[in-house]
Parts: sequence; C-alpha cells; structure tokens
Amino acid sequence: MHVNGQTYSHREGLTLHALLADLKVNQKNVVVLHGDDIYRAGKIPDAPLDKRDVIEIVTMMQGG
Amino acid sequence: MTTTAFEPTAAPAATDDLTIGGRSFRSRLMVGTGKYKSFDVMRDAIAASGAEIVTVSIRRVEIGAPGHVGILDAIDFSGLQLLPNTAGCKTTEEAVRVARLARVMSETDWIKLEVIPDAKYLLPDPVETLRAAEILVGEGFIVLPYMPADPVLARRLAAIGCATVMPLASPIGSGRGILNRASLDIIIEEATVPVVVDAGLGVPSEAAASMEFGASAVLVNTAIAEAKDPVRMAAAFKKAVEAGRDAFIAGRMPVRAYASASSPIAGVVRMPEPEAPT
Repeated sequence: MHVNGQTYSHREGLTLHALLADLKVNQKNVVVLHGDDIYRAGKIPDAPLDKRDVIEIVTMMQGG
Repeated sequence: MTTTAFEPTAAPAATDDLTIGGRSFRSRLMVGTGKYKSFDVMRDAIAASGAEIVTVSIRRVEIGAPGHVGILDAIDFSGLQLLPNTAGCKTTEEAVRVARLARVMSETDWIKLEVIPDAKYLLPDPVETLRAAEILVGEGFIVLPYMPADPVLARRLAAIGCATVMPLASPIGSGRGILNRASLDIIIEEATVPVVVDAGLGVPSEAAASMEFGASAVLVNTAIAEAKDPVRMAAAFKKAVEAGRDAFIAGRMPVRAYASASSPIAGVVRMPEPEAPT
C-alpha cells in the first residue's frame, strides 16, 4: 500500500487506527484521504486497509 | 481677544470594517504563518499584528518522523479566521484536491487559492487559477485567489464569484515592494470585490502605500517572519496599514507640477526699497 506517497508494508488485519498508531500520528490533528473518502480529524473510522490502498494523511502547517 | 486652546482629539470613530465572505473584520492586515523561527515568536507576532485572518498550509504528515508537530499542536487559532492555502499546487486538479482536504481539516470554506507551476519566481498560473476558482466557487468555497496583477483576470475572478482578488506586488518572499503599481491601480479602480495586495511587501511603508492608493487589505508573511524582531515588525505593519487606510479615507492632496506656497503670499516682510539715486 501507499501512504503519503511512500510504500508501506501492509500486514493482515491492518486498520486505519493501527496505521496511525504505527506512525505516531495524533488523530485529532490530521485529515485522512482513503481512496475517495475524506475523514475529519477526530472522526476517523477504524476501517480495514487493503494492500492496494492509497492513503494520504495531512495536517495544517505554517504557510503564507 | 479670545483664543481657542489646542486640544488634541482622537480621530472620530467610524465603522470601516473589511467584509469578506459575509464576515466583517476590523483589521486590514492579513498575516502568514510561514518561516518563523519558533511557534512562540509566531504566536506573539500574530498577536502584535492585530490580524484576524491568518494563512496556513496543508501538508502531508512526515512519515517516519515521530513527534512531527503540526501547527494545530502549537497554536490556538480560536478567534481568528483561518485561511488555508493551496501553496505548492501546480495544477487545477492539485489545488482543488488540497482545497477539499483543507475544508475538512480547518472546518472553514475559506481557501487562499494558489496555483504556481513556476519555482523560480513563484508566479501564479492565471489560466489554472481561473479554472480552479470556478470549480471551488461552484463547490461553495469562499475563494481568495492569489493572482498576477492583471486587471482582466481580476475582473474574471470577481465575475465568477471569488470573494476577493489578491494581486501580487512582487514575487513571493522577495521583499522587492510594489513593482506593479500601474496594474494595481487599474485593478483597484475597477474592483467589485476587496483587493488584497499579497506578496513582495518588504517594509511597512509599502503596506501603507498600498492602503493609501486604495487596496482593501494587504497580506504579509516573510517581511514579518524574517525581521530581526518579528514581533516589533508585526506591530509596525499594523500601524502602517492603519495609517495607510486612514490616509486613503482622508483623501490625499492633489499632485501639482509646480510649487504651491504654504504661507500667505501677501504681507511678506521685505527689505526696504533702496532709495533712487538723486
């Protein structure tokens, strides 16, 4: 699977919450794009992930 | 003989709010959050600027960087209007995608639209900007497009429903000041939406000048963030924008080709005329 443009090792039973925990990402401050679905911060479902999934995890950063 | 004592008075309070997307703002200075040395300095600078509209970017979380801190971890933006941008997007498709993510992330429909394929001068692509703006306006976004100082493009962006136009003064982060004055004058003269001069302002006097010649607001980031003392510079920009706006409302004097004496012409004390020789 791909996460933020990088290859990520999928394992059996991997879910979105487990992925975010693996990545040490604070769910309250990120938005997740899973296929065509956009999940709001703090309301990210514990969806099962497939090895072909493309995930984007974004947050707000500094900018002008 | 009666005399009148000189008593300085404050300028009469007048409502002069900036209205964008149905919201009113007292401050006409928008600030960015990029390039600060620390979140603490950023926070203090934003406070000193008095800005009520603050730009942020949307970026991928860095994978493999535990502890990666987003701005939401560090700054409380309550009370401010967040203005997420699409900086870094090179095409309409990228910008629309980021705008949709930004809407979910920031819980606001406001978006500063930037479509910039040119890495050297960071000049916005007018065609892609217009295309993206049409899509985003259609999706209910309040679109504030960063744009070249092109009066025709400004008219078209306003016509399709953009909330403002944001013409550049000079390239982003260059600090070169106002290089597009003639075009900015036309954009302002014909504007049907607020004109926000964005990018390139290097010092407060350039912000004041922008406001004096009729800009509705200015957006400043690098000039504050890269100052030796960003907090003090933010305060300086605040005062400059207020001064420039007051001057615009007050109305400048006419420009004349020749001098016009300030003191009365009559009654000048002159040397006695020399006596004529006898």
